Amino acid sequence: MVALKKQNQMHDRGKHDELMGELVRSPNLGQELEYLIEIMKQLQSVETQLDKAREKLIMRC
Amino acid sequence: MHFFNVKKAFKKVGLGIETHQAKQIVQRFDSNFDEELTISDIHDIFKASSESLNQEVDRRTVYSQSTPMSPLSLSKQSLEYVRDVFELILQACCVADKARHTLSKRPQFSIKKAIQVLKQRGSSLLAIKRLASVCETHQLLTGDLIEQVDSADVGLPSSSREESNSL
Repeated sequence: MVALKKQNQMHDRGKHDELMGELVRSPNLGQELEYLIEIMKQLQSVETQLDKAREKLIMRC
Repeated sequence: MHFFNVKKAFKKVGLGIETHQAKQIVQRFDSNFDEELTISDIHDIFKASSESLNQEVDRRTVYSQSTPMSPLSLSKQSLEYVRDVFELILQACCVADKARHTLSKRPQFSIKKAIQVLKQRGSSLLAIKRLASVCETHQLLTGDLIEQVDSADVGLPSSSREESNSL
């Protein structure tokens, strides 16, 4: 269990370093990734609203 | 149902849409990839995430793939609710398009990287899975990434593997 946790932590650290390296090499990448994340969240928000609209329709009909 | 029937259905509730938008809507709900919507695909358009509500819909909706349905008559209020659903489907397609455009502009971009950033900000696995599922609905990410999210192989920290909603 402890070994697995340690392995996960090392894996996380590796992924983190890899991403940080990329962000440092390409300064615009961070900003544009931020934009992409915003769009993804926007999409999720529209899908949540869509789900509520469907529920309203089901309750009505 | 072809894309031109989708255009007609949207027009019926007062929403004029372009051909490419109608095709996008067909693409989203077309379960067998034949560029047509079956009755069951149309059913999915109105399906909510709540299982109990959907069971109620299934109970009330009796349809057969081979028998044509009789025309429905809906009240003004119900038509408005249908319009709301259609409008939001359209909105979702537009936002997904924006994401696709952003992804195509920068080939080194990927939903996976965005997910890694979210993970570093402490988003929970559940919240990330939900986001990944929305992206999957709009075909913004590939099958292998979904498997990676499922197996928490996008570098999720152990602390964020618990169930929580916040992004």
